[in-house]
Amino acid sequence: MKLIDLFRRLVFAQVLLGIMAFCIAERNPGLLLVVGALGALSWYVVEGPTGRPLPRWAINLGALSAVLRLIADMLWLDHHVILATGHFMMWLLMLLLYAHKTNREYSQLLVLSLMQMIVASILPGGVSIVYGLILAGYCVLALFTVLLFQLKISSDAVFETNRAASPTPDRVTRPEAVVGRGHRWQFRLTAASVGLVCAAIAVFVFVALPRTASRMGSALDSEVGRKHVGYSKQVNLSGPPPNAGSREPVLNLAVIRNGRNIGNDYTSWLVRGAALDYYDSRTHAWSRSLSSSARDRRLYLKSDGITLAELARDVPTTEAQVTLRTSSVPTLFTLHPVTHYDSASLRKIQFNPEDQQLTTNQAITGAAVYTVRWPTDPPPGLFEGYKKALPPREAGGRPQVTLQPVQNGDVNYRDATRNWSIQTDRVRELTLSVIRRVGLDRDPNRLEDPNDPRIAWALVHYLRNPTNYSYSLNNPMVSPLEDPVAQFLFNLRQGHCELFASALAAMARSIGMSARVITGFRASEYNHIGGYYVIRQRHAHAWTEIYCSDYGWQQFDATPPDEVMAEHHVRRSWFTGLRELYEHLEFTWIGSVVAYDQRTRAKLLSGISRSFSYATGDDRSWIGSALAFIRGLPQRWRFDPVGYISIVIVSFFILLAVATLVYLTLVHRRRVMSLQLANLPRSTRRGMVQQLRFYNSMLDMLERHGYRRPAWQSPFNFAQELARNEPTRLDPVVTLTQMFYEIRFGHREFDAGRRQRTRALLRRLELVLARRA
Amino acid sequence: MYVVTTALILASALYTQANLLFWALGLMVGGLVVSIGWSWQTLRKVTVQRLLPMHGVAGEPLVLRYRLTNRGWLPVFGLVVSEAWGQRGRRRPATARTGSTGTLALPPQLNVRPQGWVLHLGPGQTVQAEATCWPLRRGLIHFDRVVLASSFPFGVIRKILKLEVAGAVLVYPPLYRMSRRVLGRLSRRNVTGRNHLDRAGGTEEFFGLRPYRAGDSLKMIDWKRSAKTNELITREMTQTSPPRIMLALDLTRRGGAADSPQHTPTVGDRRRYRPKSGVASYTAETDGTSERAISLAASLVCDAHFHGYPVGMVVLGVTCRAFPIHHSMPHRTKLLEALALLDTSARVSDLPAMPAEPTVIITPGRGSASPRLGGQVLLGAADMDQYVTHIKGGAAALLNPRGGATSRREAVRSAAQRPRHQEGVS
Repeated sequence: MKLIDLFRRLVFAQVLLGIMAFCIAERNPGLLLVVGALGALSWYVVEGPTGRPLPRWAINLGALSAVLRLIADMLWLDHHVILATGHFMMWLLMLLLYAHKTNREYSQLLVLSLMQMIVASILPGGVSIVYGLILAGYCVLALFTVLLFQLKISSDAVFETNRAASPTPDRVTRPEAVVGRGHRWQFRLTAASVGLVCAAIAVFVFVALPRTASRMGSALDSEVGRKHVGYSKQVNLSGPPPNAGSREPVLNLAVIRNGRNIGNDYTSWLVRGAALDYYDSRTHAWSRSLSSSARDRRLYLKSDGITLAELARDVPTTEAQVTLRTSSVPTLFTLHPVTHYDSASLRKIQFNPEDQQLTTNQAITGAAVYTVRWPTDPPPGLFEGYKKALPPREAGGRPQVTLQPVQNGDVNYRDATRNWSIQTDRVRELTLSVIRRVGLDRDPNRLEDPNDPRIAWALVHYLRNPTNYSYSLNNPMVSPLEDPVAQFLFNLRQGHCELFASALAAMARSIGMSARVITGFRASEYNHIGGYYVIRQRHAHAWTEIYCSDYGWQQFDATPPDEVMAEHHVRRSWFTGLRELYEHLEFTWIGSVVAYDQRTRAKLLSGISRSFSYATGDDRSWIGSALAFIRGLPQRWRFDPVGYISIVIVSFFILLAVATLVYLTLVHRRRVMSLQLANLPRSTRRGMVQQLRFYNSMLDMLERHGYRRPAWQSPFNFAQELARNEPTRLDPVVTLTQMFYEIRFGHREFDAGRRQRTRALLRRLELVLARRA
Repeated sequence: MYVVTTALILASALYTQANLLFWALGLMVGGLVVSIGWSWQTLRKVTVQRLLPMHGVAGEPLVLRYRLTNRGWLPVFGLVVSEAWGQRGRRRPATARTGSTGTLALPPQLNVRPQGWVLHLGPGQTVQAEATCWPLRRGLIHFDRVVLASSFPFGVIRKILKLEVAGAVLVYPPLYRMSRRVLGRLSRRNVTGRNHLDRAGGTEEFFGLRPYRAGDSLKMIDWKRSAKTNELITREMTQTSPPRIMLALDLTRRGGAADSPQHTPTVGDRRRYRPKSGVASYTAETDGTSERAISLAASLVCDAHFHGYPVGMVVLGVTCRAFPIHHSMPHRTKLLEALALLDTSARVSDLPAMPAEPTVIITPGRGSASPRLGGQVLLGAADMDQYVTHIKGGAAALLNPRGGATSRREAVRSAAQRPRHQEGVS
């Protein structure tokens, strides 16, 4: 039966599409390869002509293994519950694909597949437009599958009832599919209409339903995204060189100054992530000290944005709109020094005024959009501005923690960042020799001396000088007993950005200047179509911030810029435009759908309301003019009741005529296509269609009883095949087909004799077909 | 399941705030709204006409046909057509049997509700659906109403339309082909050996001469006599005289425990009593020996008619008119209808007036191996398996051996009352 066969194929396609979507959302191509191959194989193993499903005991055993795997995933392997559940459902789907399938198994397949898509939509990979397209395809497929499944269920219920009633159940056949004319296109039209209505309601639900903050943890994101991270909130110098990172976009950044987008190919920005102020001489790793963490202030945005630092009114500011596409780390990337923050979706944040680090504990499901603002030219004394702007810390809002390495929580933060205890004398000697070479000097023991930014620049120039140090991602690993920074400074003299940043911090600290290492991204790849920077995992970078008197914390990038630029450089080709277009589409998708939040909703609703009220209130707009025209109709045309009734009747008949015309055109087109008359001139086509209507009637009649002529088969072959299969019953088809050829190609007239003959033959054919039914 | 899935998506969306889940939730809600709208609009203008056959045979498939017309603007998909019995709004008695859905009372002849299925019924179109049932026993099946149901598009809401369409179909007793041995015994009943009548009009033996009349066959002209008399003389031949069977169905003796009109066979009974040889019907077994005797009589009537034997019938022990010996299709139909409608619970002791001397006596008990002294053959329903064989192609092959014309005349009887719409949504 074609209905059941089509349903089987659709279910199979839907399940495979769901599995593919899950693997894409999980960013696991290996799993996609394995499970996709297994799923495709199941069609040949189970559904093929010699297919045989797995025995029930094997399926049960497999299900038991899947349950054990789920338990192991959650208890011992520490996988996230969502991810473990998704894998569990995937293996259950695999088992069901290999099982003997009744309606129960089919419904299990459909429900499990739907659940899997729900899980996939939660995963971080679900933000990509590829996943969005797959999801749309899945919805369309699911619509047809469910509609067909409903028909199959009703057919099977009747079949089972008849089997139960019959004394010979084995001889009971499935109920014949009784159909009217044009059942195929009517089914497609119905399905399309149902889908469109569902989509319209879905748009309404999506737009109108209020959003709140997610309560799901971000462990899932970090688990899924762990393989692709280039950025890290810790810098471990003793390990292998840092992962260069993938091309996966992490965030998009649009920089706006005075209302203008100032992004371009030639300007790069250091996007600040973590501020690392503590260097562990034992593990050789930079991290954020607990004393800094202890000073984080919990902030909750109740209105439009929050001011982090007080600025004078006339200070020009620059704004960056950040679309964060991954939430594997709780860091909010900003540009230094951030003074204002605003977001609709990420409203629970933590901010430390001393290291100006923004973090959040709120989960980011899908993507998040936020805006940061900073002074274009940071004024002196900005650090004090932070203290003024932020509210006092809530009493008891944070548990007491043990502070390391500074035991006193009230110690000056700058003092904590100006000590360097590894080969201090040697580093200090090198530093002093460098700055003295350019005519500068500083007494390391006089900490109260002002920090001269020229010293910092001198150190930067020294490190950037290719005759002194060179940039390399393949620097050899050092012994755990040796310090990597000292090795870099005195022996190896080559390294990556983290070593350059660490060396600059070490040199600055050795002479008593406060310094810290910053990790983040270097934004340089500009998307011309969208007008924003695309920041990928491979753009991860590290630099240094040094406290300069009167200016506060200033950024210094000691890494040779040419090498970094060469590493991040994108060669423009014909493919670049395509890629930018794709990424812009994805950005739009993320901005409008994935990252749709409370503020976007409010903006959209108020925009719609405003547009509508404007359109209806303003007579210049077309809606307003139309409404005004309708309002003024009674004054303009004064009719008596008979006149109104006449207008209504005339309008009705006009509409009826238009509808009839459309209907007749469609019917005529369908007839032309089925009679293959499209190549004839228009003048002869209509007459031929009229004459050959009997052949269309015959095809309709045959189609209602299950004999369908494929598009590739000629009328002659079709009639021959029918006559060969059922020579006594379907001989009218042969005669009618002969008459078709006589009229179509033999230039015979469809006279009264032929008309009567065709009518008699059609009646006979109808009787013959009805008798069989 | 649909509502549970929707609730699950709603919970997931609210908990995770994943926007794609809000899309999915919107689609599910859309499906729900579409289901409500569709079920409200569909089936509103569907009319049905039940086309019943003249009769059915117990144990044989009985095909009920329905002419469905959709006058609405929406197509109908996945339409299930079934029957419902019992007065609407009245509580079903506790002893009433139920169909597969367990909601409606069933007539004693059926064990499940007949159901038909229509994949598609377009706007303004008429299709013919059919539902097959297997009556368990003879009798008149009354049909009260036709139930149309559809769960399209998502199976969330089931729209049910009940149409009052009355009708009835008579179910004959189970029919079998009589064995050759029994028929041979009946044909040898005439001890004189004559098999023709002393009457002209046949083709058997010479009867006499008469002048030629227009239309006489040239083969029958006696050319020698014609030459002598100088006018055409035609030979007349005698008619054949097939065995004349006067059947006496003796129900004065009672059958077994199951021979009770209150006993209603079930599917379990049917399977339990299925004979190994496949000859005797489960219906005859379950309904007791009286029913077997009725079935045997009906089979004999049919087979005798098939072989051209005139048949008469008288029933002893229950109320039934006597039928004189005759051979015609209406006569056979009358005999079968009388047997189908026999009420074995209403016993009478008076013997009816017999139009002729019985030649075959059928009793619920045992039969005898040889004819009695008066030439009567005694057939016992208890030995039914020895007298009958299975009919290839079903009872229709016996009832309508020529198919076409007879079956077409008897094919359908329309119960064309104007249906009253009663809608319900469950």
